[in-house]
Amino acid sequence: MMFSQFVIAEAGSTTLGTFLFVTLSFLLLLFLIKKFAWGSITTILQQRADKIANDLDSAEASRIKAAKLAEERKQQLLDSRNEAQTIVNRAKETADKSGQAIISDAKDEAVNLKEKAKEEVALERKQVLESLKGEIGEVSIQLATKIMQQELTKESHETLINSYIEGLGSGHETR
Amino acid sequence: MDEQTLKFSLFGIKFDGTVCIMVGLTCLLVFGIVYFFSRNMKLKPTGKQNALEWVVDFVRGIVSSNLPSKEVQDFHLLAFTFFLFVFVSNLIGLVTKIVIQPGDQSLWKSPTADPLVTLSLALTVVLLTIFYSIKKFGIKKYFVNSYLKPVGFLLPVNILEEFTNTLTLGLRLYGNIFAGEVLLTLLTKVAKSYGIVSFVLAVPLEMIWQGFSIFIGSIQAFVFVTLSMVYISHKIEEKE
Repeated sequence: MMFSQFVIAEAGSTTLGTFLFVTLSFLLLLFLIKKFAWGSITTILQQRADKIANDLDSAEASRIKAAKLAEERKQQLLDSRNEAQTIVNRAKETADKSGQAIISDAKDEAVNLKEKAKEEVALERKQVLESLKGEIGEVSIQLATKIMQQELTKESHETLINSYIEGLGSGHETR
Repeated sequence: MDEQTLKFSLFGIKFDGTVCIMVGLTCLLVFGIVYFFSRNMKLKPTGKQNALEWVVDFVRGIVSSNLPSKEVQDFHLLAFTFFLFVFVSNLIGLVTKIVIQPGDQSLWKSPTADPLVTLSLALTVVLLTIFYSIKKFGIKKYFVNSYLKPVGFLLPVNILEEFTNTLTLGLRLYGNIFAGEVLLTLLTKVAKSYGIVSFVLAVPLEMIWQGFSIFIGSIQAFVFVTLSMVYISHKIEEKE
């Protein structure tokens, strides 16, 4: 019968022997695996777990850093845009101002030139009038001398002419 | 079905030679596989390392579903060794069958197809549960925690449970594997009975049954480790 194997006290039973052999083999196997293989298995598993944790952490850190950088860039862009706007505004202002200055300078100059031209014209006319005065006097004297044949002295004649011309001049100015 | 085995005696203790050979072979196989598979381990696993890590992870799953998470690390190696040992033991008998004719002595069978081996394993498990419980609580508290909780009058039942646990754990494994081997032996006898015709008929049946036995062997290894962890958790968890 196969159940005879369970009877520990039976003569010739292998129960104790089997128990000892199986248990000792098992414990030896346990010890050998622990000594020669288990260390590397758990080490590698632990390393992988650590690495994954580290990778996750550093990924999180880089994500935050990237977000911060993007924010900075955005701010800088905004700043430079503002600065550019300011520069353009200032340039426009300057240009406006200098344009005004140039225009008013030109106006002044034009006024000056006109003034000067007027003065010159007036001066010239005066000179012309002066010279005309002399010439007309002489011509009329010659004419009168020829006509009246020395009826009048040169001095009395000149006063006569002068009064005449003054009357002419005032008459000319009122016109 | 009462097969004979090689018996010899050493230091006045009788040994079962077949069982010793097969247990030794199993240990050698398990250690060889684990040792070979755990060489050159890398952070990025490849080939054999993947297989080993899968087994390690599988066993960790069994352990962590039965034990509190801070204890898992302590019993991982034990469960791992039990699992591989029982698994290889279950399968090794399916490979072949060697019988020496005078005396009909069998030389090759699953170690776990022998009731003494499975009962030895079961006894080892139960002794280990007691050992770990005493290690954790001390003798007095171990006794109170294991046998007088939740109520004192369950003491006889609780003590009886130690023996029934040993018996059920061992005989379940033995019964499953032994039955598989018996049927394989019967199929072999069928194959031999009517010459070539029965041989051709029996070969596919034998193959099917071997496949089924592989399935049974894996399931039983899983069940054995799971129950061991359940018993351990009963002993090392503090009860209300």
